[in-house]
Amino acid sequence: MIRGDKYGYRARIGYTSPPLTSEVFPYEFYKVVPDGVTLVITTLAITVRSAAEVNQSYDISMKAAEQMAEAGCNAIVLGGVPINLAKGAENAARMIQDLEKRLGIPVATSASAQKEAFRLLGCRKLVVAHPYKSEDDYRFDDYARKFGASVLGTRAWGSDFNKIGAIPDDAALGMARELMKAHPDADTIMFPSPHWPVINAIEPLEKEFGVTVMSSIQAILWQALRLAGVKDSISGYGRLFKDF
Amino acid sequence: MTDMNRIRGYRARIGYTVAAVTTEVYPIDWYRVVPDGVSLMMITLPLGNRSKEDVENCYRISIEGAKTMAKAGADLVVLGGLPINISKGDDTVDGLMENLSREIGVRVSSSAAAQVAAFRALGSKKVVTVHPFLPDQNPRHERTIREFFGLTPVGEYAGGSSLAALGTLPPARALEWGRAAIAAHPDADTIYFGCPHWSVIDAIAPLEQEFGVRVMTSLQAIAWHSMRLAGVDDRVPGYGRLLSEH
Repeated sequence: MIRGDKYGYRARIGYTSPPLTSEVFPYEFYKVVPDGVTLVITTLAITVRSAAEVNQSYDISMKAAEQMAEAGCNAIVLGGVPINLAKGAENAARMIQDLEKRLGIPVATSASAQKEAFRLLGCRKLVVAHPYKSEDDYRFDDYARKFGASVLGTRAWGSDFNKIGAIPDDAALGMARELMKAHPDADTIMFPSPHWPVINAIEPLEKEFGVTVMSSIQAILWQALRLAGVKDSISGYGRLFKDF
Repeated sequence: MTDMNRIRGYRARIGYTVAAVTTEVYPIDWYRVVPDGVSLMMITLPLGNRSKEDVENCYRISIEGAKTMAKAGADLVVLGGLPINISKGDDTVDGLMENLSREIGVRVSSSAAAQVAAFRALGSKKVVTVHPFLPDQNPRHERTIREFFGLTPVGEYAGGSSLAALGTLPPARALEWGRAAIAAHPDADTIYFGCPHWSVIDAIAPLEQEFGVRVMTSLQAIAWHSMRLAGVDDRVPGYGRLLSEH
């Protein structure tokens, strides 16, 4: 029987995806969301995360948000914490309000989604596993502070920004296990960046260590679903989707 | 059970430049058609009013995007958007792909080349085109079938939608429009659905069975051609003869 309604019959989520190419995000999106929820994606301009690319991506995000609203999206998430905060945290909050007023639909950012997820999950003492090189470690200390938490330890996979789609599925799991062994008093494992494969690691780690796992993709999808009115409790991908 | 040691695109990673500011339907239909282990790397392009300047800007970004996807490890790069592919003239497409492939060290194809190969594989001769846009796009489609693909256009069916509304078209619409097109042009041997950004793939098999014709769609052709060029020779049932027999 051929479907008589559109693919996104429950909600259509707009997302501006920072890397110039997107590979993992759409795949993991559809593993998590219920049937009838679709992704409307625009790729931005980041290849090495230079200041020029971040500024260009901020501008593209604003234009894309307008097109997403015109296309009928039910909620929009502007991706990329560095892009969200490119003009300061105060501007980021104002930007969300301005866009919501102008476009008439709920808007969030990756930064605001993660801040809210941190708050609800009660994350305080983090270990961070990220896909980039270790010189990026400091960025996550900064993020954690902004989200009201502290970092006990960090592991870096060591990938270039534009190659994180080639990270194996088990990388996040392995790094998180090493971190929990080194820092057993952590209450949260954080996986920043929604563009490397982490979704299959969330539930096994929460069960194995009795901690909370908070990943960027989880926070973005959870916030987008809730803003779009999809309140389903989703099993298999951590406490955030199941309990909030 | 997920094999955790594998990368997402463990069989093939296909880069594709999407000729639209946003994309919604393409990745959904892509992952319905391709087997596990074939991943999609996407870049969206700022295609707007299809003016000359607009198309040329997208052409330039496509080339830069291809280079980025090659660096990221794509096994194949497909340049999307027939109007963009042929913006420098119909006869320049093969040269563009050859030169770019040499430059980036990764095989390059295009949606145009995929559709040429698909029409050839299916043995299409007389084509009725179904597209989701306004009737003012009919002459462009008629010209493309005749001049670029070298086939006989027997008619066009315009759905009357717009680029911004493509994601709101239900799959049933393609089936209805396909039936209307073949009813108006019963001499067609092939129904061609242009544009890979609306829900078409569920209409392919029903239309082939109902009318005994070939159905060729942009997305079907791009997925089929990409897989074959990347060495994925699986026959995929359920989405027409092209994917199940060629």
